[in-house]
Amino acid sequence: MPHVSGPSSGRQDGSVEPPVILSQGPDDLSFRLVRLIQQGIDREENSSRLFRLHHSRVQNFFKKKGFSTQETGDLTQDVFVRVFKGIDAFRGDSTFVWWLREVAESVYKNELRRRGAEKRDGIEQSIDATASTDDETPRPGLELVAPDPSPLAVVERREQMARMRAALESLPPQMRQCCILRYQKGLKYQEIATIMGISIETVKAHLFQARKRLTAQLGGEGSK
Amino acid sequence: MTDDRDLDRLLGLLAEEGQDQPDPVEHPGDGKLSFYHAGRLPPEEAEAVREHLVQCQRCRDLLLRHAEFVGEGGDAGEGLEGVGDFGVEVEWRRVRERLGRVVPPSVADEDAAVLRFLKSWKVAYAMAAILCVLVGVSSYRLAQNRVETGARVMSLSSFGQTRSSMDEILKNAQPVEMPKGARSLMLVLGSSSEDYPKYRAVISDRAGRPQETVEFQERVGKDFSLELPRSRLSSGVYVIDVYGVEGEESDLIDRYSIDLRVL
Repeated sequence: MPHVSGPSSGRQDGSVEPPVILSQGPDDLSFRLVRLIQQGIDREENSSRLFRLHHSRVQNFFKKKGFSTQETGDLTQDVFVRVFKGIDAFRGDSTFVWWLREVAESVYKNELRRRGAEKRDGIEQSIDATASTDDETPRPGLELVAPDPSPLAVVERREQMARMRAALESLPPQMRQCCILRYQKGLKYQEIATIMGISIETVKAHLFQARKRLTAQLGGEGSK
Repeated sequence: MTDDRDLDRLLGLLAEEGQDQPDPVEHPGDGKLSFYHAGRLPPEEAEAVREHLVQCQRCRDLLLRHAEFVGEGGDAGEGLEGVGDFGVEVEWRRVRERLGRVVPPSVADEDAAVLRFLKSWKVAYAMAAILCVLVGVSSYRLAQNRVETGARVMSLSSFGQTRSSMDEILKNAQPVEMPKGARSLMLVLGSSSEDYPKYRAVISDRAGRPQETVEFQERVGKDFSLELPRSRLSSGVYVIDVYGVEGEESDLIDRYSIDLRVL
């Protein structure tokens, strides 16, 4: 697959990232359509195709934010008007869909500002939510700690944590990452799958295996 | 051997430890995140990004937001129900109108010469003659009932909220033909009714027996768009009732009738 060096695009203050290897291969239809549009080749037809590829996605974005059908249609049009007006400036520093989402979010924020609203209720999930009662909820493991643990308890806890960390480090990388995301960061299976770029089934398998290994490795940590 | 409860307790300590962990100072950058999500980074770089994501809430949130936009996790963002390509086409036309078609700049001399030629009366006569021939050929072909393909689009006006009697509605059914070979019938139902979260179209025969029910959410402006496949229709008079649906309630908002001939 051909690679092209791209410009740095670090966004954090003071942070500079090395050049990104762009591998927008021939199967990235959106990117190809954008390039054709930028080159003025069948601009009308290719713009139409690009619109059809992503129209539903943008609509659903606004629908989920709680906008009415009419507002959704108007805001979706706003997004694509901005996209096509600025398409010649799109350099491929990110995928097209990433840029599209940024435009959609910008239109959304402008709309909120216009309405003078701080935040609009939408179907937004917080990854901190703990009210879920489905199987996705991470198993509760917090234990109440005495307000003033004794020095011995503090030392014991420190040792247990050290063993836990060592046990985690001994896991294969993906398994360890799944564990941290699940048990330390509290993510749901689907979220872990998205972050890791693997299937939900693989996530579950990793966590199952991880528990078995950790249980075996940490033998003797229990009831003291 | 540690049992499950002991492991959960230790994992709980792990969770406590992770609660106040700050995000890393440096981040891969949005561009790299986008390529990571698209699966287009080399393995070593992808692994580095993955490790960063495990530690960085800011980048995780961003990636999850992007994944939701793209439509992962079972929320693929399919096309509008009941409207399909027709509605998207209308939306595209509106975007184009707003973008405004740029008037070509003043033509070069060579182009001006071409224009002058095209405007000459000889060319006009020739084009008129060609047009006549084309119209004649088309009429002949239609008269011979040549096969047409694709969807036939018909616009219908509403009887409003059924102040007319059923006899009147059936008597004033709009004639609609489904030509040979047409795959489906696209009906554009004119309406001025208010908006609802969802709509339901019930198509009944002249005896009032429901034949088809279609549910959809979108309108094209104020109109409804309904595509009926050929395989589901036979000739006859049909009444189309459109209901606005909100929760458990539904209101009859428009009524139409067609006298359908399937050729």
